[in-house]
Amino acid sequence: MSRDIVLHAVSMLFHGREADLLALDKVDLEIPAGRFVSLIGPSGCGKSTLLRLIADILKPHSGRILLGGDSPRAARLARAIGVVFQAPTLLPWRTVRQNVELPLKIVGSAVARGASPDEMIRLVGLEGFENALPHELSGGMQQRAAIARALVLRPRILLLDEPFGALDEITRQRMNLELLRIWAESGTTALLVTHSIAEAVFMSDEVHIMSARPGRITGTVPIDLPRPRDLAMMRGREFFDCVNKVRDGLFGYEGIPGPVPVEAF
Amino acid sequence: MRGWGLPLVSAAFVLILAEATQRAGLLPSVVPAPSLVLLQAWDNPALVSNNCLATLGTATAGYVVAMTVTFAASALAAMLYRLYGAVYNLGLTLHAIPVIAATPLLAILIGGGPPLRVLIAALSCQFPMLVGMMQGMRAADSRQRELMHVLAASRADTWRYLLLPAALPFVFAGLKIAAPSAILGAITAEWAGADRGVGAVMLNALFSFDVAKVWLSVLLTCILSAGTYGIWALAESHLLRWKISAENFP
Ligand SMILES: Nc1ncnc2c1ncn2[C@@H]1O[C@H](COP(=O)(O)OP(=O)(O)O)[C@@H](O)[C@H]1O
Ligand SMILES: [Mg+2]
Repeated sequence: MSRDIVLHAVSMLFHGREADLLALDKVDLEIPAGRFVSLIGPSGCGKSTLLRLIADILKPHSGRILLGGDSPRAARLARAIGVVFQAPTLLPWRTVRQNVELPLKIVGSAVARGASPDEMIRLVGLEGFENALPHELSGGMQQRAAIARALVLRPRILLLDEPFGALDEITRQRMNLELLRIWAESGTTALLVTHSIAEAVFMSDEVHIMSARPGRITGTVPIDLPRPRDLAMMRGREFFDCVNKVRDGLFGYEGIPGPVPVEAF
Repeated sequence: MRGWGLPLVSAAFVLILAEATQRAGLLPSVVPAPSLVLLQAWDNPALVSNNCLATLGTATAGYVVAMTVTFAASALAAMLYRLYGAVYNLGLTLHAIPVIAATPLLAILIGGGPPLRVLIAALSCQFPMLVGMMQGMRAADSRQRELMHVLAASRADTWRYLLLPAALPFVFAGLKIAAPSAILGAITAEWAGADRGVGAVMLNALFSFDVAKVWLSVLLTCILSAGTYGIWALAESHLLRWKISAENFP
């Protein structure tokens, strides 16, 4: 089954109390199977809305979304979508293993394609914490458990909405490296929402730039850095070229005073 | 047992103080020496056990009735969300009726026997239970609900894995608070004419101006209320370990 994501002229309208809000305006987007792609844009430009449309949490006002040729609803019912929210959203009464196991419990024994929870826990580096409750873990560890949970059914599509936004920079960088390793092993198509330019460039094959009011995709920057990625690449020329292109896409050329600031993520 | 030291010490202090001041003749006759109250119980263990069991039986029956009815009402509100407000308001209205005034009216309606006492006990404790269940069923946050949606969980699985566990802390809070209310309700009902029960003892003692016995009945009421509350608190601390552990986490 194909794993690509295709959006065709997708618009989303929220009915506000006073006026309607056009959160997304005719968004076209194509993500080939197996890629790692980022969405970047100012807050409120509709990144989360776009992700929630793909995850079948919201229904588009108009336009079409196809996930491997299926509707989002069909893909969701086939458990082809894994979602990692900004907050880990673990169930506080379940241990790490029980949280990672939850999708398997819900699917039941009918679907045999799931990975073993312990295998996923190892993959995200939480071995030894299988029986810990969420509140006994740090924020980064909780988010790792959430990633393990999102991957345990081997989804064809992995959606990540600012998954490490709440973490400190050091943890965040380590988590990003791990996420790339996990993604490479799992072979899923990944869509990451972020508002860090460096993070978007470091992680992705392609960065889509969004603007707000109405939410639109205004540009796409291909990232041709080799894989697997490592932190040394962030010092390289190609990396800065990509960062500059994304920044230009976000702000235009006038937004850059003097030498290019070095940005960590 | 942590957290019990201070209450025990202060209770002992008050008792010793009362004993001493009463013996010194400093207290009015409506406050008997605690030793006199305890002696009453010691001399007459059957009086204590018979009447406590009668009250406990009435309270437990009322408690179970209230639990069944509030659970059914909450389940109805969960299935038909439009009824949520109506169920809540009905519970509140019943709770607002003063039991003292309602008891004689209900006695005329259904007679003064055990069913009346069970009904009064049930009416007295239903609202905290209802609040616990009704608040509890809404306790899961929107992100957790979204998670279940993304996992395409059935309604039954959503209840099993999310809504019920999330509701439990609220349900237990309600059940705990309701336990002493059921005891007090049973005792109030016994005032309307019962030949057994802590309430009957209390009423008899009041009319015969047996001060020590009045205080004994007050003491028994406190013990029954605290005891039934304690049973639920104990059950809670075993079943909701995750919650207590999370709350005590630094
Ligand atoms: N459920 C909703 N109802 C009404 N407005 C919404 C809703 N969700 C998002 N919006 C609005 O849509 C716009 C885009 O929101 P969002 O997708 O969350 O942005 P981002 O994730 O890029 O910060 C914002 O203006 C937000 O207020
Ligand atoms: Mg967002």
